[in-house]
Amino acid sequence: MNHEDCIDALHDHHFGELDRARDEQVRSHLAECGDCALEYCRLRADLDRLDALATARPGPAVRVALRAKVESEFTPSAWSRLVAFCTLRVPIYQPVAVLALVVAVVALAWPTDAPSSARTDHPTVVDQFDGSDVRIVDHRVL
Amino acid sequence: MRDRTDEALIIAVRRGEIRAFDELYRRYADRVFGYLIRYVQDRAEAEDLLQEVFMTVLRDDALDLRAGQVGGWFFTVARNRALSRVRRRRTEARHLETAEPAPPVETPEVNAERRELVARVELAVEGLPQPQAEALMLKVVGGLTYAQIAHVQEVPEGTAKSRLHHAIRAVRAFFARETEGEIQG
Repeated sequence: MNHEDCIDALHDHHFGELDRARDEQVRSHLAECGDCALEYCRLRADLDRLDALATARPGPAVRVALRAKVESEFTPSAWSRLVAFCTLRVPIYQPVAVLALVVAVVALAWPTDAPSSARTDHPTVVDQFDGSDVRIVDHRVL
Repeated sequence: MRDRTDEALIIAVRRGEIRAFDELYRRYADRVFGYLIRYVQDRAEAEDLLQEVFMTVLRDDALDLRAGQVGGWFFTVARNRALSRVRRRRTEARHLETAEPAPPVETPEVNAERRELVARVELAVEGLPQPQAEALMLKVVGGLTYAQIAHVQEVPEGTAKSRLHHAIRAVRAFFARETEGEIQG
């Protein structure tokens, strides 16, 4: 890179508008060339003076007023949130999956008391067996 | 919140996330205000316009949020609003026949020395053709890229870049003459 190329590229270098390769060339040249480095220092000093244009700031009341406007316009009310929830688009498998889940929960929680209560309320024949009191059955078969 | 893009913040604000607005305000309020106040030369009016600009950008469904143009869009809206406000003011002044020069921009934050520097820089910028002065303001105050400046000014990127370079050269020449005059004087 020669002097002219470097001087032409100084604005773009300062504003970060050069691609990486070109920017690296400018950096290398500035490191070696005293004249261009001095010119770059002068450019930066002048551009720093221009920063004086950016001193004005809006008052704090502006932010407060604007925030209130944004809040009132964009924050959804409870009613609109409910409507949005009710009209929410969901994939077709989602209600089917929810329904299946409910059925499964109900089926598991439903009392299956018929066989177990029979066992407790009406003791089985085996439970009443007494080996010491065996009745001899004497029937003629033939 | 700070690592979110401008586009993501705008979407979040539209969904009602007020903290996203705070971040968006932090990023743009000072820059847009600095740009507006140079146009309208009136603090109250610039503050009023700043609110309009924010609400317009946030409401605008036509804004392409994938394009990464939010920064440029803020300044495009600001420019249009400021221009129409200045035109309206001129028309009103003509009707009332009370066209007085605009009062100087009040910037109470700066001290006397700083104020003098601001006045000198403003004088340098005032001598520029309007498109060049605007390109300079968009770069220095707005911090926009060449592409964004081109978008705001509705010109090719090369034109925006050329305007900016001419503006900087002219302002530097003004500073050099001023320094020379001080030395001779």
